[in-house]
Amino acid sequence: MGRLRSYSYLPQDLLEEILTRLPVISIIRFKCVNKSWYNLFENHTFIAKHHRHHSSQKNPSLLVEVEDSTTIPQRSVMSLHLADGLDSGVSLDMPFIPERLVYISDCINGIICLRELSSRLVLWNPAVREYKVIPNPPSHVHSPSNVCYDYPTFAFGYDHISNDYKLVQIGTYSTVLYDSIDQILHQVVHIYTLSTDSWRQIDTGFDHSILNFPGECSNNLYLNGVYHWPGCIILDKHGQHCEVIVCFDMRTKCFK
Amino acid sequence: MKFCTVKQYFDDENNNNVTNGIATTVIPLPNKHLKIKANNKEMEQYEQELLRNVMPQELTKLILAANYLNFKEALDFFCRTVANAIQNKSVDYVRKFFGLESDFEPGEEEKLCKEFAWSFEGVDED
Repeated sequence: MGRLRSYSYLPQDLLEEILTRLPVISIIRFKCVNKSWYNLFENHTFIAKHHRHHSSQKNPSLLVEVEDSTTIPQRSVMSLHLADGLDSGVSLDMPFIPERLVYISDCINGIICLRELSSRLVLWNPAVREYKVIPNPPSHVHSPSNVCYDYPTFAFGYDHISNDYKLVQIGTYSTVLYDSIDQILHQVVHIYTLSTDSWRQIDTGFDHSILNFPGECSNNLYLNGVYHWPGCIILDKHGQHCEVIVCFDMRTKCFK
Repeated sequence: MKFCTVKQYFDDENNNNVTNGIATTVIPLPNKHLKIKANNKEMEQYEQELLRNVMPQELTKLILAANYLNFKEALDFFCRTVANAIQNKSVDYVRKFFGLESDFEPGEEEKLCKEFAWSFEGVDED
């Protein structure tokens, strides 16, 4: 037991090699060891290194939405460790009170974006049991005849340059012209930035009236900081259209 | 190629970084590694066998040796072993293990422990 002192000279970089290999729950507990460890575990560089190490381990898990339709329909989230088989699911308890029906929208760097039926958005990190309810985006109302066309399309992404998380919402609104039966579709794009906890509208620079986004979309793809949606350009009134892929870069905030 | 520093070690008689005992543990590892490279299970068993008689505290010396010899697989293995040994332990155990002391203000530590209370579930007895 007198040999315990031998650890006090372990250099910082080797100590970090050990700490990087700890599971998240241990890291949270060891924030209480001393101020230096607390600061280390809050440091973005260490967090990124820890995340990189654990992401590179070859033991994937699946996030699964579970719907229980036996009595009143309810949905919850489970984590399934593939190597242990399909029966090994562990329910992830939400530290907030969810509405009955929740949908997983995206999961980036261990942060899950949940959408509730009422369109409330919650960002949730199950590993550290922290969550944030996103404030509602400003609704865009020109006149009483504006109606929200469908569920807004939105995306959750990460800008690695500013180390910030962003949500993009595309709301499609229609305006009815009083002397015509035509509807004009407007699309309004808002971006939410986690570090400032605020929404702002952005100008996308292309003609929204011909570009149609599916409201509720399960074919999205997020890759390398760019979000991809399948979309549809309406070519004429007879329903002719061509399908396109629309990309949004989280960093430059540009659509293509 | 893995051991460019080994020759230097043997040439340098005043080396205090790596004792002989540690060297005999670390140096056979890469040969064994190459032989059973394809079979992870077997390697794991070999590693468990190797460390069965080593106290967790002595792993520091092994880590320093592996780092000095620039032997990445051994470094990863020893660091993982220490991480596994401490991951379920209490804050006090970890302080004693690394020779650290709390420098929080009175009350600050209690506040943190309360905030992170969920992470203390299932911790091993000291």
